Amino acid sequence: MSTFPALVPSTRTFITGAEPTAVQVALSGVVIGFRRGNRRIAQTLELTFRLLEESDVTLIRNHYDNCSGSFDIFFLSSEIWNGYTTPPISLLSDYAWRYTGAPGITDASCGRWNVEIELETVPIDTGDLIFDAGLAAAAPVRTYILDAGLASTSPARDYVVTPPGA
Amino acid sequence: MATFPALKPSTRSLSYGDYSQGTYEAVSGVNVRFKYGNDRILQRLSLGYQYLTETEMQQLLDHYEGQQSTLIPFALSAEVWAGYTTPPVAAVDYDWRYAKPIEVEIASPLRYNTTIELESVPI
Repeated sequence: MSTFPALVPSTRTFITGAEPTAVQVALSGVVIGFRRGNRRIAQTLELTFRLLEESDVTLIRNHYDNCSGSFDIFFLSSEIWNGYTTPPISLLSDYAWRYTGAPGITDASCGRWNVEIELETVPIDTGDLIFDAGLAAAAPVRTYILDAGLASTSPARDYVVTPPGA
Repeated sequence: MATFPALKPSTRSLSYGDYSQGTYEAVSGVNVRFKYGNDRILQRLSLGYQYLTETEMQQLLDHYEGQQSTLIPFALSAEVWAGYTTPPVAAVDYDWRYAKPIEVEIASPLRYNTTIELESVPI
């Protein structure tokens, strides 16, 4: 599992999403809502990278391919939230990210490209996010294992997150 | 297999496609996904050509005709990826076909503009 390439976006739009609810409206117009979950869904992050070199475009393409497009989840690099003192969603929280669609790659000028991507959060279980067993490593590895609760020796899927700056 | 005419586009935009998958979503919004294939599908390449001569425009129209419009896949010429050291979509993995008919506009006397929409075909 990978971390998104350490590239600072040119523009960034974050939409906070909402908690899943079902709303029913009575004939009188009175509304009652039922909460279906306790974490926000459909949080989206639109990123635009302008005038990238081919090597940086390749970084994004390779990351997209390694994630099998919108299939697999990943974590963001700190560069994505560049400018924030505290990112609106922590780098290692109970949310991972996935692509919602294909990156758009457009020629900008000679040897430079613009890339547009859109990401969406995926709620994960923080109990499955292992911070290198609590060891004080200089470059701790975070591993997210889907079936960690089962103590499987061959987990179905695990995600190793490269810590920022490592 | 006919190769796309060796014409360098004026503008170029690539939508990188996605991997075939099925998604099942719970009422809580949590979803589980199943991947159905290892090739990207629905990659779109938009090529803009400006101020083509009639001969060049005819090359595109003839090629479109030869491919029976959107039916027959074809390979791209190297000129289409001009500017890239390594083309973002490997020719060994994907062919292309026309995604829609070609529209030809008159740019100036004896010069023509067109935009061509292609869609990848995994091979």
